[in-house]
Formats: sequence, structure tokens, C-alpha cells
Amino acid sequence: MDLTNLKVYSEKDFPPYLPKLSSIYDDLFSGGKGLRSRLIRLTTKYLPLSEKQVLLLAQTIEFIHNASLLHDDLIDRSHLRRNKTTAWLKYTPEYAVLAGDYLLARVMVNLSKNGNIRLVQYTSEVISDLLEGEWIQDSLIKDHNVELEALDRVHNLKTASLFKWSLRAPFYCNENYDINLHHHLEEMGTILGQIFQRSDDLLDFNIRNEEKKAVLGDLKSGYLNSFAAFLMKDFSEPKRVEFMKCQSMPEVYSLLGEKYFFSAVEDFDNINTALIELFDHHLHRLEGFLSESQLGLIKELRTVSQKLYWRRT
Amino acid sequence: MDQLISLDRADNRFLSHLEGTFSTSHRAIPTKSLNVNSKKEYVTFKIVPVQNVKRPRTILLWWETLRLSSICLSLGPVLSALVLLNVTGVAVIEYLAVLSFVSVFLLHASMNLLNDYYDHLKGVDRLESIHAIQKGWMRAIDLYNWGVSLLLMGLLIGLVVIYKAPGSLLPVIFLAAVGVLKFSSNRMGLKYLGLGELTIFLLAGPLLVLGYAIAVSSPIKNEIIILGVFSGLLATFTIHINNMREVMNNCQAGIKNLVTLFGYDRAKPIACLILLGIALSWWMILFQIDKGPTSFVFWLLGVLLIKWVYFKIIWAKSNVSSHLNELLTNRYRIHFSITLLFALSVIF
Repeated sequence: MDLTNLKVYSEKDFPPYLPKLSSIYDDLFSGGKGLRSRLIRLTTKYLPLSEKQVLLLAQTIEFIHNASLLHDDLIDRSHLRRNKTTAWLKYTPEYAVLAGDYLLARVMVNLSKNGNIRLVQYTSEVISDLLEGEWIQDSLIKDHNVELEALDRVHNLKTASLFKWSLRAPFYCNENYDINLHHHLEEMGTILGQIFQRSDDLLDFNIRNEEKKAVLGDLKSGYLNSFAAFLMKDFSEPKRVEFMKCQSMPEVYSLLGEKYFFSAVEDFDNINTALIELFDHHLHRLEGFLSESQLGLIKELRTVSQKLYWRRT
Repeated sequence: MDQLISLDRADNRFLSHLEGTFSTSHRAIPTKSLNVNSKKEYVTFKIVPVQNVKRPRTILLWWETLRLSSICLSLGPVLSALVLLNVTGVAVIEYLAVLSFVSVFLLHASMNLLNDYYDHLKGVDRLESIHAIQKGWMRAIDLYNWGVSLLLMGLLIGLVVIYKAPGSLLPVIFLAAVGVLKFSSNRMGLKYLGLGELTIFLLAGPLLVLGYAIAVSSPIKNEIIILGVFSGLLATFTIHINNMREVMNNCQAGIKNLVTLFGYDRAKPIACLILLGIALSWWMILFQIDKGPTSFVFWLLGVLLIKWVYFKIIWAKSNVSSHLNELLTNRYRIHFSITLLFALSVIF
């Protein structure tokens, strides 16, 4: 089964009578890295699933993720997504909300056609977690004393839920409901989500920013991301206030000193390296749940955590 | 790099790793999990050589292990009662006052230790709070042994107090024992019935204060009963803000309390009502014992502190808010400060 060119979005999958729908989705689905659907492809490679099932899983995760982006951009009032004008700005906030809702509705329609009720239930729980995470995250805007531990809880709901789904859903689809296997995959998905989020938060401070993403976006919108919370943990109140006002990296360096800043990056990398080691440990235990023909998955997953955190292609 | 090991519950090494008895040269520290409510059948431990564990000074180690910052929850009401009895001219049997104080201290410390031990075994609170075990300072079994020893000592001294007390303590002891057992039991626990706050209110309030007053003096005056309400509300507030912070996990675990029953937003006015109750009952005690303006200056200082707490609650937009976290981090300091101001208001 050749899955390298798996296309998760086709306008033929959507009704032609809804105005602007195709344009919104064309913009949305082009240019993304498709990280989560790649993880699906990687996991399903070693499971006896049909091409239709794999497509369903890949579509599901990308639809949920992209629905969350449509809503996120509106909540954050972001102007750019993947170097293009965001949907709410280009069309209208109403269309952006509807387009996001519609993607989530399609997920349920497609999955229920498949007939695996446990997969439908699990997916609904993940969507619920994701929305809870977004909801709680919104309450943290302008909260400049938030701690890394609180952000971890939010990211576990918002970011990690989709990584957990990408690891567990293929096994659900394969009707493997072993509770211990799923606990393992749940822990592994949590770690992947955490390190991906933390790495993404480092990009905001121009660390390993090969993608040339706009810097300090979170800070400028009043949101303290995981690295900022880690960086500020010992700051006094006035210094926190000053830090929140920074508009560029030179301003950050001038406030904190470059030496201090990069030493904090190193410390942050160290705690995340420990998380990657924990992921590898769980991976080793995962072997016990797989058949001989599935062991290739271990080797492939081992590189995923490294790639996600260190942004290696 | 520390060694990692995952053990299933069925594995015969599981308990020895949890209790820390598997080795004399290493500590087994459970790794943190963000999925606190998934009942996993295994635990992943980080195996750390004892010499790599950074132990603090002995005082700090015991302060953290016994969770002495929380001790004001029980000793605060006891000392307040003693001060109030003294100021209102009630004769106090001194040796019984000292013995009761020591007994309450030992029982509270032992409850902290045993609570941490059983939570550690059940996997509750592994994300935070059990510092002594999580940092490898102590083995879980050490906590258990110390907990049992302090419990026995506390009970022994308590028995002497019960025997020598001028009034009958049996009804109070009976109610307190039922409360403690029901609150800590997992299957029959009051925390699953939505009665956790009421139990805490009674245990750390009227039962503790009345019990202490009966143990060291008699008869019971109105101000002692109001002090019971004041102390109970203070303790309930401490629990309530913790419940506000943990609302997500508690909802998922099916724990019923005021926050999970009424929701996060309605928990804020409830917290404010409790604060109002604290200020009012305090004022009523001062009024009851005819205190002068100086006392009300301390009361006003207390109200200012309560006002700061009130605004922190109002500003906390969600359970992960830093305002709520700040309150939670300082909850025992707040309890201690209000108790101290109360004592000063009664004395002057």
C-alpha cells in the first residue's frame, strides 16, 4: 500500500452548494506539514488496515487539527497562518467558525460510517479535550505569573490530545482495545504533545526557527508560552512586567542578557531531553505489546520524538 | 542518565519499589504523569542512587516531610481557643492544655504522613505535593513508620486527656472519629458524596475547638462555639481553593464537592461567602467578649488581608490561573496570618 501521497483533503468530499467552503478549505489544507497524519501513516504501516481505513484516520486527525486552527486564529485574532491571511480575516469570523464546526461535524459523519463505536467515542473525547484546552488557554491571556506546570495541563488537553489520538486510533481501528497498550500509547502521546508544544514555543523565541516563523507572537498577544514561563520562573514582578512588553528578540536579550537567555534554553532542553528519554523507555516497553511483524514501528517512532523536539527533518 | 524501570502491579517488585524497600543504595521515584486520572496498571520509576539525592537541612527536611506549614489548620484553632479561654477568665487546667496541644500536633503530623504514604501507594497526587518521596529524601516506608509511631504517641496522650478531662469528650471524639474515617475511606468517602467541606468544617472547627475547650476547662461559653465556626470556615476556605484548582481532575475522578457540584464560576461567590463568614464570626467573637477599639484594628487588618484574597479569587479566570495558584501556595500562610491577627485582637 503506497501511502506517501495520501491526500487527506479533496473538495469532492464536501457539498458544492456551500458558499466559500472550497476556498476556505483550499487555503487551509495547503501548506501545512501534516505532522499528525504522517504519524498516522507511520503507525498504520505496521497494522493490517485497509487503505480506506488509513485515509479515514488521516483525514480525521487533519480535519480536527485544522478545525482547531480556524477557531484558534479567530480567538487569538491572528492575521497570518502559514504565511497566508487567516480565514476569519479573509472571509468573515462567521465563516471561519462555521467552517471549523463543519469540519468537526464531517469527522463524526465519516467515523460513524466506519461503524467502530469505540473509535467514535474516543474521537469525541479527544475533540472535547481539545476544546477544553482552548477554553482554558484563553483564560490565561495577560496572566504573566502562570507556571509551566499549569501550561503543561493545558497543553496536555490542547496539543497532546491529538498526538495521543494519532498513536491510539490506528489500534482502535484494528480492534485492539488492550487497556495496557492504550495506557502506554496515552503516555507516549502525552510526551510527544508536550515536547512538540515546547519546541513550538521555542520557535517563538527564534530558537531552531528554520521555518522562519514570526517571533514573539505569543508574548505580543499577551500569552506566556511554556518557554517564557520557564524563563520567568525566578523573575521579580517588575521584571515580569518589563519582559511582557518586549517586542523583539534584541529587546529580550537586552533585558535578560544573552548569556542568561541561552543558558535558560540549555536548561529547558535538558528537561525536555529527560522527557524524550522517558518516551524511549515507554517505547521499549511497547515492544511487549507488538507482534514480530510490527516491531519496525519501534524504530520509526524512536526518531519521531527527536524530530519533533529538535525540529530535524 | 538515571535508570528507568516500569513495573506492573502484579509484579512482586512493585510494592517494594513503591515503599522504597527494594534497595538501601537507591531510591525509586515515580515519574510524573499528566494523565493523573487514568488508572494505570504500572508505574514507571526513576532509579536514583542515594548519594545523588540532594537532601536539604534536617529542619527543612522535616518541615517538608511532616508538612508542618499545614499544622496551623489544627494548632491554630487550639491556640485560639486557649487564648480566648484565658482572656475571658476561664480557668484552664494547664497540664491538660499542654497535653492536648501535643496530642493534636502529633495526630495531625501522623495524618499528614499516613495520608502521603497511602496517596503515594494509590498513585494519587504523584504529580505534585509529596515532596519528601518525590525528591527521594525519604522512602515511603519511612513515612509510614513515622506516621504510625506519631499516631500511637498522639493517641496515648489523647487517652490521658480523655481520662483526666473535666467534661465528657466521648461525643466529640466519636463524631471526629466517624468524620475522619468517612473522609479518608475511598469507597464510603464523604468526598464522593459532596460532604467533604462539611466534614472539614466540623473537624477543624466546632469539634476541634469544643473538644479542646471541654478537655481543658468547663463550662462552654458562646464565644467558644462561634470560634468553632470561625476556625471551621477558615479550614473550609483552605480546602475550597484547593478544590477550585483541582476541579478538572476531581470532575474526572467523580469526586463531589461544592466546586464540582456548582461549577468553577459559582465556586467564586461561595468562596467570597466563606470569607464573609470568617470576618463576621471574628467580629461576633470580639463583640461577644466586649473588646475595645484596639482589637478592631487587628480585625480591620484581617479584613484587609481577606479583601486581598477576595480580589485574587475574582481575578482567577480559570483553575490554572496564577492568581489561584498564588492563593494555593500561600493558603497556610493566609490561615496562619488570620489566626495570628485573631489572637492579637483577642489579647489586646
